[in-house]
Amino acid sequence: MKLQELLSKNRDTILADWEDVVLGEYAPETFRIFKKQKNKFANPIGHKTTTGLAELYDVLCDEDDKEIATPALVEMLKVRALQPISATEAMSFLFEIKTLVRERCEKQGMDKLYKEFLAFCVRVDATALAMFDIFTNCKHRVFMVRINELKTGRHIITDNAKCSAQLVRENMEEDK
Amino acid sequence: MAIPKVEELRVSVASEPNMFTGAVPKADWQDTFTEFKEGNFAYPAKPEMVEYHGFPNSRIWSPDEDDWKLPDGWEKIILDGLKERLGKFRSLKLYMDICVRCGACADKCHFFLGTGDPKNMPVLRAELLRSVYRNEYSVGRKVLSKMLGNRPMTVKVLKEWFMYSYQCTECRRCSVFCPYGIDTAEITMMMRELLHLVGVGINWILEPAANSNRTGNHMGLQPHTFKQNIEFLVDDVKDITGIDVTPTFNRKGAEVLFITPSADVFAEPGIFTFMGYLLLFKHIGLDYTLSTYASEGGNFGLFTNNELMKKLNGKMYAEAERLGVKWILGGECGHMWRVLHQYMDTMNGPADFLEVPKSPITGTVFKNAASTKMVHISEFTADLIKHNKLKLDPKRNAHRVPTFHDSCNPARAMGLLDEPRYILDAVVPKWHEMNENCIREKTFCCGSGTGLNTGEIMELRMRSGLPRANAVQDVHEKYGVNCLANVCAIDRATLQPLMEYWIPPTGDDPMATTDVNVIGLSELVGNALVMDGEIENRDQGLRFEELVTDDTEG
Repeated sequence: MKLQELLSKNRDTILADWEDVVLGEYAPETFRIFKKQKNKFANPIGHKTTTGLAELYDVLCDEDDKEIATPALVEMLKVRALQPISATEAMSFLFEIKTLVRERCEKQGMDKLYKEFLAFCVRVDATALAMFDIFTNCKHRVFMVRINELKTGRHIITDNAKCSAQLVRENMEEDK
Repeated sequence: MAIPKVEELRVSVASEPNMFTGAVPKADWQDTFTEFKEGNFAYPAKPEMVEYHGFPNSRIWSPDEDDWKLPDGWEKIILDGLKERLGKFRSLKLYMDICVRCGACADKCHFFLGTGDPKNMPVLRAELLRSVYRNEYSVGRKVLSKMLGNRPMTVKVLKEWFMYSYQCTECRRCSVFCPYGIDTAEITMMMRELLHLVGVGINWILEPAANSNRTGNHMGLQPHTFKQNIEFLVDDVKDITGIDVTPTFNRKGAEVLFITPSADVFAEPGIFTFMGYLLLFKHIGLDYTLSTYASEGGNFGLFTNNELMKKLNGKMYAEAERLGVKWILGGECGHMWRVLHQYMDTMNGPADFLEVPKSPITGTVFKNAASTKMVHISEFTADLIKHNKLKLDPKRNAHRVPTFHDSCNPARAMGLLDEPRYILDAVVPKWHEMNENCIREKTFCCGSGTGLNTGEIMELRMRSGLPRANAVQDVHEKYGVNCLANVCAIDRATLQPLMEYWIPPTGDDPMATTDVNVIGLSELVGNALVMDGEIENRDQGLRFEELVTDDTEG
């Protein structure tokens, strides 16, 4: 069996294991809810993770040059860019796929497919670079949102409330 | 779905890295610590703000420092405060006793769904207080203390209260699903009240509350500034429509006193909502006045303590009595309406010096407001439309494809569900509902209510707003929804950034910040109103945007 065939035949089980790795970063009772609740409105993080991983998996398995930034993957990374974890922690899940696939290969006596596996790993690494771009764009977006809040004046409502009269008073005091 | 019991939670809740705090607890949740880092807490109140309210223990402190400089004997202060409130509020006692940890609320909170932090499950957030309550009051507490999950009041517990009572927007979605009707928001309110007793609070609540008390509105606008801002809006309305809508201020003998959140007077996009009010009142010739004293609908007392809530609510009624109006009309606000419908009557009511509101245009008597004497602008507008008193051209809003966000407080605290939808039907050609799991009583919060709409916790706001944004994304993709209508000032201020993050702009407009803009319902009304004497072929909306006219359709 070729690696490509293995990836295709084991898509569902590998994806399920991969999802466990990602959602397993949450506390056990959160994991239970995020894993089981299939309604996307009742479980946005679980849903975005599941669909994001599925699209990412298909990108990795496709030997053609597919667009890496698929809509669901971007959504998944938007979630991760907001969590208070480091960029390393947010992105490391990608490399778990190497372990998951290698384990499958070993189980099925396909250790000698190292050249194909190596090619798969190269695709993972290339994807990682593209994903870092998406991730940093998400972070950048948060800062832009904050800047927009200042530019539009909404910060007056959303930050320490100061009326114009108070600002004028403060300026006058500073000028003294 | 298997929902964990508290006993299970206690063992395993924090055996994995906590996604919110980044900590990696190794033990029972009761033995784990809450880690404060820049970005995961709102800034503490300035000492002068604490002193302004006459709250005790003002000082400079910071949550990310180990020593919070708590006063001597603070544990006793908290426990005495708890005892006093248990005696005063029967609901609190009930909520402490009757929870059976069924877990129905566990996965209903937007903070839990957006952060994945188990301590944001409403059942567990409430357990932070219940564990202390049981330690003081439960039978057999001395013998079975640990087994029952009881715990004494310690600094660690206090820090958890601060972290998680300020990761709850008191939106009450969890209470909709509670089979016992426990209002977890009131438990959050009590935790916040108790924290204030030892000088632990956040600035973005106490400063606006101080401003409201001093100048009448949470911006701290002085009367002349408040009036000037409205005059700017009057000028804009004149430019756009050709109509002079000059309102009056502090006018004795007016039939109606109109009170709305001051944000509507001051910042986008609320100012456009306000322009909508002005046009509506002009359209029907309403005899109303604005007040520079009761210049705030929002009640930051609700986020602070019951005494302050009563005081700020009382100002509106004091002004109504002074001016001698017949009744009060309230604008698009969130928590003003919760205070009004759930607490006003026992705090300051009944307002017998006012009359039961009766629409001077349709003759409708608003019996639902027989005691509070205050009517919601959407109730009032829907009644006008029902009686065919408004000349509307919904085509003018053809550039808008809205969905409607039920603001938590009007929806869950006063049952304002159908009126806004009735208005939307009349003022836009088409609009689309979000998924049924996310609207009406089950609406998801904007994620930034109850004083959490501050910039230092922007990422937290984006997380807690995810369930709401997720539902908007769905209708945006399916139906091309491009605006998010609502009836709350905090929504108008905070949903916009939420949309900017989750639904970034895809078009060619370099100035666009999102594909879904936030809009007050009354702005849509204002755009659709065909005014007598207006500019011929009016082609501008209240944001000076191009309107669809017969010519442009041509």
